[in-house]
Amino acid sequence: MDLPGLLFSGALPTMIVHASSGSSSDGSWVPLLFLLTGPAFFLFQYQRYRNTDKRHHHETETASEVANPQGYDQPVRSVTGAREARMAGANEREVRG
Amino acid sequence: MSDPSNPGGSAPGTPPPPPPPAVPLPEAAGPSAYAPPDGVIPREQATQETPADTMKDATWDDVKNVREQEANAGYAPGEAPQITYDAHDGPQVIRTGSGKGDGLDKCPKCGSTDIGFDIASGMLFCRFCRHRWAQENAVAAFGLDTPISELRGRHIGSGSGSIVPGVDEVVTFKCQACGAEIAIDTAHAMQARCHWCRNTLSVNQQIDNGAVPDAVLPFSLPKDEAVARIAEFVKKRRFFANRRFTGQFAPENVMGVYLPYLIVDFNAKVQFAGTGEHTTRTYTVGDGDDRETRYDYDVYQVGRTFSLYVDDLTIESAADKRDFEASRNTNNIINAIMPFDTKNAVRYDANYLSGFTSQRRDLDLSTLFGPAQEQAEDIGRFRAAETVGFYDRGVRWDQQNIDVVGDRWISAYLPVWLYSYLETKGNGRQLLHYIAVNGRTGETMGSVPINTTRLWIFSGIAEVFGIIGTVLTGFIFWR
Repeated sequence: MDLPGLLFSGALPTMIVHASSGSSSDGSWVPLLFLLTGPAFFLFQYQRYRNTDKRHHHETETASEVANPQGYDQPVRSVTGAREARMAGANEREVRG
Repeated sequence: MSDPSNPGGSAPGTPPPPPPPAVPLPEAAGPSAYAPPDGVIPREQATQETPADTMKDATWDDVKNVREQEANAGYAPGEAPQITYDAHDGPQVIRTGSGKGDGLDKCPKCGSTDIGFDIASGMLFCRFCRHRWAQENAVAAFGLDTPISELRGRHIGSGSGSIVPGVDEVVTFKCQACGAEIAIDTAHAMQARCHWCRNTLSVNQQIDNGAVPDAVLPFSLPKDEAVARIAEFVKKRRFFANRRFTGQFAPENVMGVYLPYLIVDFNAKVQFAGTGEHTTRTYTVGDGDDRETRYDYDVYQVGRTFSLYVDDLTIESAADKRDFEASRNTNNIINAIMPFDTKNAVRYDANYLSGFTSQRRDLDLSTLFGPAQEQAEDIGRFRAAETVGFYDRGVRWDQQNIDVVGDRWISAYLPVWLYSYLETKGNGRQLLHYIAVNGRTGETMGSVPINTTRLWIFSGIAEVFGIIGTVLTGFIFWR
């Protein structure tokens, strides 16, 4: 994989973050963040010039109206001690079209 | 052979049945060469024409089917027996054609065909008598302002119909003024000048090749403004730009292009069901260096159902512009300058295209319904998300469904100022870069080819600073 591909897939930053996550939360991973300077600079400039990520946001920029809303919210269970702040597989703002 | 005037026959001795109604049957005088063997079709039915009212709500497909059935049965057109149509859910056609087919869009005052379009005022003007006018707003002209909530079934503009394979892109007109034959390549233009008498000929009849839409949204952003916006866009991106690109950059070469779109209204019911999670407590466990944040949360079964009225969802209807693969093209740039103020579109008139190029629509509803419905579902999902803010850990919809109750499709040419540059890379691959300006709102987006060598060098320099930063901060954290 070429470097832009590596950058856009997020593989390189992930590798660095993973490498640094071995150390615990004492902040010793902070210096390693500086190693991302070059790739981050490349990525930022590449997108600024090429704009490959730009598109029409039809999901928010199209006029729409909602009528007759109905719904339910039923408690199922309580969970304690989770490590993640976000649930797995959340897709309430997924865009498919 | 039975008596054609008494097809059922009658018993001897009974009074003769009343004669058939005296309907004039102009072609019933003699047996038709196309008529089937004796006795199969009673004569008085064989020439009965389908009443006009019967075909009032029929689609072109219905008409073609009837003609096909007639041809297969061996009837001449009009000889087939009357066909009764049951009520059906087929599409309702919105008549958007001009009713003309003579190739002449004339000045309503003096009859000249030398007509221009003034961007500043949005008016058409006659170069001969200086009369100025505008076409009727499409929403008003075609009755598109009926509430979307009342849409049932499918409604299609007559310029949005299926593209019939084999219909030529090049349309030939006989000039009504001098009789010369003039060809117009509808893939790129909708007007041509007669070489002999200098009349301007316009494609003003809806033909089955997708070239004539229902509506057109005229340019309102002048070329000077588009040139300025493109120059400004590139000015901010010169340092890492490809040298050859900057050397050849000439924003005044921007082209005004009318690109084909389908504009859709959806009346739909959407349903979402799944699981949501709401945080009840956040706390830290452990001590010293092994502190960790933990979360308690409640899990809910969540469901949302509502009617969704989508107004003027706009979707590209040219196959080459719907390919958004970034490694092959920069079509996402043209996509990004949407939305357009489609409510201001006017009834199609080729004179609005005067001085611009146009691209023919080559995708129809059967291809675009799926993507459009998917986009409508996205809109529904985002509207549903507005109601689930309580679930701060997120919602996972396991079941998602959209039922389209009614949909309305109109094809339109929308205005884009387009600057393009073909980059040939070192390995011989080519990439067409676009810088596009919305011809109505002025929204600008572009793709500027990069001088990758320079970007690599400067990224390397940035990385050197990064390494120095790592070493310096390492002294603080790693001592």
